[in-house]
Amino acid sequence: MHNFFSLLKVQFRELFDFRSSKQKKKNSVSYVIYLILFSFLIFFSCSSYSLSAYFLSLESQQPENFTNYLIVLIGISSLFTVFSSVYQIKSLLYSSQDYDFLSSLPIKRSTIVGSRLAVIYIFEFFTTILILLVAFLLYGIQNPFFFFLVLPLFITIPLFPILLASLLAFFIAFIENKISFALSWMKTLFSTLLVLFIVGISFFISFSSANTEDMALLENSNIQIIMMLYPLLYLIRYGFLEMNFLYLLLYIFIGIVFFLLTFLLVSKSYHNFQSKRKISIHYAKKEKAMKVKSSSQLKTFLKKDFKTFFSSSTILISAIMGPITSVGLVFLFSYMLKEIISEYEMFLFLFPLLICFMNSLAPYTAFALSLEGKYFWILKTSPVNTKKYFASKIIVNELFVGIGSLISSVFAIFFLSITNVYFLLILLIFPQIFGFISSVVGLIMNLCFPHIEWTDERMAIKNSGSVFFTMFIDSTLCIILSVPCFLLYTLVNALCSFLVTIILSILLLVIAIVILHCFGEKRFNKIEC
Amino acid sequence: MLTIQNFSKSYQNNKKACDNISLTIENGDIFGFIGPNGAGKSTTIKSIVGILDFEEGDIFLDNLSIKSHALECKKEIAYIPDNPDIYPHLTGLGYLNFLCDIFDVPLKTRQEKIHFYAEKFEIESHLNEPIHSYSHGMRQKIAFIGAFVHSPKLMVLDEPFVGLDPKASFTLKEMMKEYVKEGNSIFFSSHVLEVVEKLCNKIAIIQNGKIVCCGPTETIRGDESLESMFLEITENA
Repeated sequence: MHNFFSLLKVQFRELFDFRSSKQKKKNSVSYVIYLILFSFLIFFSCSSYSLSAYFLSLESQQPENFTNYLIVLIGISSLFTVFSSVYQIKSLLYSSQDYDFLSSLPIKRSTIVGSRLAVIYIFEFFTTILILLVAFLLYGIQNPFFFFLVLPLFITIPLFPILLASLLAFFIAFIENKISFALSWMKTLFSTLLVLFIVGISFFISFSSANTEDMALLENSNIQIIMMLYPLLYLIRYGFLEMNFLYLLLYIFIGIVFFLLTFLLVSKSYHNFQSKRKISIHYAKKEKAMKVKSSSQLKTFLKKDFKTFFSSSTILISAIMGPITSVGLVFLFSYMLKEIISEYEMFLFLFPLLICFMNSLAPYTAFALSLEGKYFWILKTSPVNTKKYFASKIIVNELFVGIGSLISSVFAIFFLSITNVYFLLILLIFPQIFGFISSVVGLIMNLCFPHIEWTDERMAIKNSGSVFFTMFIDSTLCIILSVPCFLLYTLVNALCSFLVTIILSILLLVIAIVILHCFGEKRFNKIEC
Repeated sequence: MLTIQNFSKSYQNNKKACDNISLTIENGDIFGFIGPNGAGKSTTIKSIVGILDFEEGDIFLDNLSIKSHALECKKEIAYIPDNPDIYPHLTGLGYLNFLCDIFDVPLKTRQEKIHFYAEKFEIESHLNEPIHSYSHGMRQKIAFIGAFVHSPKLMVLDEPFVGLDPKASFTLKEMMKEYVKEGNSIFFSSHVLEVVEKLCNKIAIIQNGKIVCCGPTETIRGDESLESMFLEITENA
């Protein structure tokens, strides 16, 4: 038990990186701020939605509406746990970097696996609380007996999703081990399909509720969809609607038993899987013969950046999540706007804003420099032309963001049948310029808040002040630019609005480039490794 | 070639890792830099090659300050850390090509040099394999080829013999001797005092961030072995 808690403690220290140096402290603080803000966002949105659903159900004197809502929320929380813990489980259980070290210590495999599953469980348990706490309390007010089951339900809700995530993580790790070195494109394709699957499910659920006139009255179809995705919800539904606690107890029992089964299975297979993984890495197939050839610095940086970009599914997913979500959301909102509002011209300004916002969520430039990590010494000791180095990062980001923005804009134009030439131009030009602004801002932030000392690349991407500040600055700039655009359109005309928005965004881009030009090289040289 | 003038480097806790270090490395020198763990060897080396920034003193390469002429100086220096972490997703040849592009090595020269050094280090057949499949020694060899391929004037090596097999270690020593004959210089740190004693014409001993002894190897060790001299100096300092 002592080993278990020691490993648990080490794992948490590793996650938050609470160590002495100033740089690490800065990164840890930014990660904690990021976590607090993210938690607050989840808690705030779920709580306000729960409260509105509760009062609407009271007003309509149909308390079962709130029960339905609660079941959907439990389903969402469970699916969220599945998707948010997949890569965490994969990296902690199936691709752990410290396997060799831990194997040499007198620690049982079950203790190692148990401590890792415990870390994942604790994280997911708190997420569940954030999503469901207010809804559970409100439901408890209607049904006081329910309070007896609150704690066991809370404890068991993340258990079964963790089992599903473990299976999915095992499958991903298995595929990656088999094909990653032979055909890295397959890995990329699989990761992209996974992102599309997550986004697709979100849209599917949103679409089904988009037609409901009263958002509080959740349609039966919604519950059917979510129960189809997560069949264990049938037990909770029968338990709540028929007030039959046996169903709820069965749900709790299934969660505990399957979690224990996961623990036993992973403990048994952990050693075999890890040792096979080591062998597959050691005897990796040779890559195709490459000729000695000469390129300019910019070209060679571009080649390296592309290889880095496609070398890891974590990097790829983080960088393309924004463009993919942007395309999906434009598709969704175009549909919703046409269905719900007849005079929707006033809302068209939301689309470039939405495209810009989604594409600037986590630009590659915001963590590209941090990704150099322990290899940064190569650049630091070489006569690197920093301008070309920065340019390569911006070009790589722009290739994905630019194409993503263009597809989103074309989707919006097509679905909303936009014929107004100024709207067309704003949709096509503004997101492209903003993409550049976002790339440059990301790079400046990464130069200011580099996270070079990482052991897992996820730390450089997610546990990073630069990504957080880039998101914040980009969102602020997006809002600042949208205000004159909207005001001038309503008060003057579309041409004036278009011209001012484009001029302002070009001005911002120039300012960002000047800042990068003046301080970029200095900051680059200051970074120590 | 390399002049270090009153160089000092402090870390964030105000502890001086290097205190007022002054050294001169002439053309053709193989300069050994020795000292106990934590004495300040790696800090000095990292400052010479531009990894660490420093406030006090200056470092000159052919009278050019590495502070104000960083790019010009880096073009003439090659550095190999004690544990060379190299981009794992590149192949050995991909990495060498990458370095040649940065150092602007002409195509013909790079073809000849890569072939020559890869053959010397017996790694030619592995050049097309990804670096993540390399052993520590193989990575070390690739790092050496990367250092030699752009013909630097000064080579700065941190513990260069760690992880090399006996044959590669011998080859490296021979290559180092050949390299300095052309008027270039090598500055390296090591804990293997026998190698330092045989290979270096000059040495400096650093302890607690200060140079406690510096000069020609013969003068410093006198009639004793370098090992006993080193132990004597570091215990009395």
